Amino acid sequence: MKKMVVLFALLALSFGIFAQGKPEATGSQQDVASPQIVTITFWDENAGPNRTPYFDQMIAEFEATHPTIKVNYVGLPWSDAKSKYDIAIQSKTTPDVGGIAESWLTDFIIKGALTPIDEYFNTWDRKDDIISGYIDSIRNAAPDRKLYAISNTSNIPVYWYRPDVLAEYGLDVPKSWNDFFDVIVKTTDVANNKYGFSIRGGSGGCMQLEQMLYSYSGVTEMFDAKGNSTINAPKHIELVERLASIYGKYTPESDITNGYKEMVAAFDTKVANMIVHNLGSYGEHMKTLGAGKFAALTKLESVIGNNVVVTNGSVVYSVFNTSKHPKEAFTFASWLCERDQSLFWNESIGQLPTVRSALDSDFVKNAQHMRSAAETTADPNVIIVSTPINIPGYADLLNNVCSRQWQEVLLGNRTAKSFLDNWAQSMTQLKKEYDAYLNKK
Amino acid sequence: MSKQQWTTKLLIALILVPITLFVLLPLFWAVSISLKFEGDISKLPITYLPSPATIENYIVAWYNVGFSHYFVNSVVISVGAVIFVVIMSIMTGYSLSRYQFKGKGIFMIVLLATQFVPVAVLLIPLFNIFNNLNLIGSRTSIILANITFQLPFNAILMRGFISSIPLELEEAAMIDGCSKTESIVRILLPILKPGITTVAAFAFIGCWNEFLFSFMFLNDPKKFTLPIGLKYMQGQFDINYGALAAGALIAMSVPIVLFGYLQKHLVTGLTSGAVKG
Repeated sequence: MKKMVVLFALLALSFGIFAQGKPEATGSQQDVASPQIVTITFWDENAGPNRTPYFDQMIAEFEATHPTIKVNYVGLPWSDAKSKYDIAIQSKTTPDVGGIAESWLTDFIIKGALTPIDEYFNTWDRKDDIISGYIDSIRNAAPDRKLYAISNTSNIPVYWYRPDVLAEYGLDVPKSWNDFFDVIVKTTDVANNKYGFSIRGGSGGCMQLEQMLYSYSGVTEMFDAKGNSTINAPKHIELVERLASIYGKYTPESDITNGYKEMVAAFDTKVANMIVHNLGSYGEHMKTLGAGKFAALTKLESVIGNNVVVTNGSVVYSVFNTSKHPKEAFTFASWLCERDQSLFWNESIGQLPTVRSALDSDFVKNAQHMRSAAETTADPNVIIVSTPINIPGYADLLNNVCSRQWQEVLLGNRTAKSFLDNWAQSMTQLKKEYDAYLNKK
Repeated sequence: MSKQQWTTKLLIALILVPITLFVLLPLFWAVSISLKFEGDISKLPITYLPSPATIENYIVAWYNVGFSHYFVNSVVISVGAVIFVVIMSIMTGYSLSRYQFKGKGIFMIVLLATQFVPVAVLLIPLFNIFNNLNLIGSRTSIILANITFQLPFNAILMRGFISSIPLELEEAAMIDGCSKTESIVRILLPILKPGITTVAAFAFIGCWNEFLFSFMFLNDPKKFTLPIGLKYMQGQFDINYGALAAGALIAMSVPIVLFGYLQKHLVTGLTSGAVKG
């Protein structure tokens, strides 16, 4: 009997647990007690202890200055954020507003998940403060050229180097790609486990390689007039061959499997003197190496003499079409893009504001990497091009097909030409399919 | 002790010591990292012991990341699911073990076949079902999903435990005046304790480590579970190794304590002394 009582108690407990799980809506709600207060849900695509506290602070400030809007913050871990969005889009349970990687934008637009914000944007009094290039880039991601997002942060590729090492070898900061390779060779000291460079041979490696290829060749178009990918241009083959030739000799052998964190660890532990990443890794270098022990180089002269900087997008804020309060959602998104918030956010995460008036701030002027990035993006001689992130299938191609072949090249099991020809063929095919889809619409 | 016994013991030790080190080294490394300052973790030369040590990473994980909520949620969800899995496993296992019915073989195969279905395949259908039931965002959805995925394997496991208990014990109890239910509750369940413990342990670990459903079905960070908390420490450009190690150790603490306490029940004494003469 005693055991029956125990069993019954356990059952009652579990029903109690079930009963307490009150479901909550994903999107916007009207506050019942105060009908004039609107609650909107905001998904942060890259939450974590190093970033979420800044959002908490900004949201508290937003709610204080906008008493009729309450923001329900939901932080998503970066590695699974896209899957969460995909499921939410499929089941129409998306938030009111969310941070999304620019490379997801076209996919979400095609799926009909986002609301065009042109109407709100055109009447927004701060719209002219956003650098027009960023708005154009977002518009270009949309098949209908409408505006589906706004951004308060931008990112460009960075060649991170250690000034103390260059000083030790009596070398100048490289200005061209030839200088860059020269520094790699001269600063390698295999006996002491010091290498001039670390290649990202693993996860995410091809995205970075693509940025390096166009910067090296000076080619400014991702596709030629016939719609063929330019990724297999002769100078690109040359760079892949040069990188493969230094792998294992002037770079650690473990580079073959380098993802982001392994590559950054090679730099931060002073095993590698230079790496190629973007502004986003600033915080990691700062944490380990400390101020003044590393510096950013944001442009290198190509082999034909021009300067090409290749961006692969940043994070943008979009209003989802399931939102019952798109106006309030846009109010929050646009508030994040205003000067003060943009500046605060970018100073916190170490990236470049997209707001023109923020570029004159002390933060941008005083931080070496920011100054360098701001000068490069403002330099009329620098050509900024974007990788074809708007073409569906692009990220999958790079991550699932190209990355394996890139490793084969580094291991000497595939030629650079074969690797880039395959890449170009697949990319051309993806573009044709995307163009056909657009024409059908 | 004879020389041969010494040699045997030495040989066993030679095998077990490397295995133990192999198992404990990552754990030691996690403890070491969790007690280091963030800036010291990736510095060369490698330091094996934190100097100076700090508990800052535990504070970050527990308060800043929200492990204080996640821990409670994981306990609630895991315990809630385990109670149902155990009860339903006993019922299913009993019927599979004690009764003959049409389609029993096929039912067993179906139960086994569920183990071949990847969790991700059922994500969208389950999401839609729970969404229609207005359960998305509630811990109930996670408990139900966990029960669904833990039950088949554990029912088969329980069937094995019940089959190894002689039917004669229940028959003897019924001859002495017990009803069918009483014979199960008073006779079978006490003998089945190691089986129940094993099933509960397996189900608990499965629920404790479950990530996908919790992440996809829940939208309120205050309801998230420990595996989601661990993912928070791995950002796109920043990885908080110290807090990650601290969080992993917090997450591991419950299964370690649980197994430490339950290990003696797991396999021993299943039917020992059940039938005499």
